[in-house]
Amino acid sequence: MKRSFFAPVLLALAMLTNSWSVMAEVAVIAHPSNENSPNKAQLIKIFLKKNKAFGDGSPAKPIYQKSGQDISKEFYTKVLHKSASQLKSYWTKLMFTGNGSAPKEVKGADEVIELIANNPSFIGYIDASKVTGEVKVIAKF
Amino acid sequence: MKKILFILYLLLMSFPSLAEVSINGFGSIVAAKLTSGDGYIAEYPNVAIYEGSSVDFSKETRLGIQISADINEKTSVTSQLIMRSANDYDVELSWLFLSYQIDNDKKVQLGRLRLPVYHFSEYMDVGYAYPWLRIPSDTYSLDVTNYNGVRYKQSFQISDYVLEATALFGREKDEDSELISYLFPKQIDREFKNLYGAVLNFDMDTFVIRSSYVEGNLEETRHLQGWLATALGFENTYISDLGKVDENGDPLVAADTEYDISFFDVSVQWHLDNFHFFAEYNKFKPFYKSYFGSISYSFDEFEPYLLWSKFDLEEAWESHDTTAIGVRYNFMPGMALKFDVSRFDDTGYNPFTREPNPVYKADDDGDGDVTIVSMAIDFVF
Repeated sequence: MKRSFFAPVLLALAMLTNSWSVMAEVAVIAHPSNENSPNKAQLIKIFLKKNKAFGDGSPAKPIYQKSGQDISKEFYTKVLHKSASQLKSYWTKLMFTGNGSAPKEVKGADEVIELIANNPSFIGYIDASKVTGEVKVIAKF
Repeated sequence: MKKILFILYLLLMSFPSLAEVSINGFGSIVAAKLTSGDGYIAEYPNVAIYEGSSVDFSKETRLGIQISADINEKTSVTSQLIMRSANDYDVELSWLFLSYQIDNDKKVQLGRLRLPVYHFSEYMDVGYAYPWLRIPSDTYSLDVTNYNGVRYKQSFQISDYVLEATALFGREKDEDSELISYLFPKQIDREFKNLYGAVLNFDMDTFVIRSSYVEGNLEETRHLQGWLATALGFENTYISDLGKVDENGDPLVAADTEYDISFFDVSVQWHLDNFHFFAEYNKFKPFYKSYFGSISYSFDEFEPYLLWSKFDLEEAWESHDTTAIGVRYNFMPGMALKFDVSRFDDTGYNPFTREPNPVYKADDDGDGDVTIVSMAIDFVF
């Protein structure tokens, strides 16, 4: 009897903790006409502006979401292997040595999709569940 | 001139609606206190010296403001002003250049630039961009931080790595150098002519190796008493038309010295999971060598560090090292709080008398050793 009482409680607890620890899947998206399939190392270089072009030589411009958003934290950790403050230090160094500016930051997945759908140079990241037909997923993490 | 610049800045800042103009800034509020010793030179180029035993906010505190604007698709202009407590917040121009992007991998910049003789030369004022409370003064002691001229940058993609090459050319005048005047009792004017240099930065993501080389001619004009010039063996002294006098009002003679100088620097940076290693070696021919090493570990928003640096003049007169332990805490977005305890050990001595010759002399029997406790808030916007 006791067991049947605890089982659902444990199950609920497990589901609860699970839902806390399950992280959103990050989709890296580009314009549907983009035929490039960069690997992770190449994506890191593009998102850190160390490489300003895709594999085929066309210009690559990264778009970030605001740093406070969960999907951004996910992207920094999973793809860039940096914390928000490490990334900020990186942009700070670039900016104040005349080597470039921090990338454009927008508010949410809708804005990222809209920008990318209208400009083949842009590349961004969004929650994989928010992908629409207007953009192409080039990698998932 | 400086006031005009500043007013221009205020004007620009009050019209943020001007298209394509971006305004950013950085700053550090630094408070420090000596717990032993007489005085500590925390920063050489601007002569930030902590003396006595009270808490002092007015030595390394600084604010930088940068304005950049796109002129057209390929060309932009960037300027950066810094105000430092060590210089009574006089406005100084640290960058002012036109940048022309030739293509994705090449650009050329023209104007007032930073001389990249050390790994952190170009952003040593931007505390937020590194883990330590300060870049150790043993290593980053060169008083000439800028030059007027040009630099060309090109990056090469080598498999998954990036090699960035920079070539530079320019010159710089440093009249009545504050630092040199501090270290040597008489005024010295210096002119760095025909500075040529190159920087290579090989970025393998978690491992970065950088090397720089700069060479040029240094013309020094010392203004000193005639008897001292003779004693020091200066020949061809002359009466300069600047009319400089000593503290008694007696005219000083001028003596010119020319040096062929060169800087060589190599540094490695290695990020191994949460560990960060940094090591740097610098040689300024024909004067001195310096070293800098650090280990830090980042977790959550904290980054504790250990640091060691050393300075060795070619002769026994000046030699010192610093050992520091500290922590960086990213307590809010764009802000870092730092705490540091540094032990400075001065081993310079007079090679003739064998008496200690510390860089900071309070009295005749001071050995120059110092312990300093510091706190800082670094921010960027």
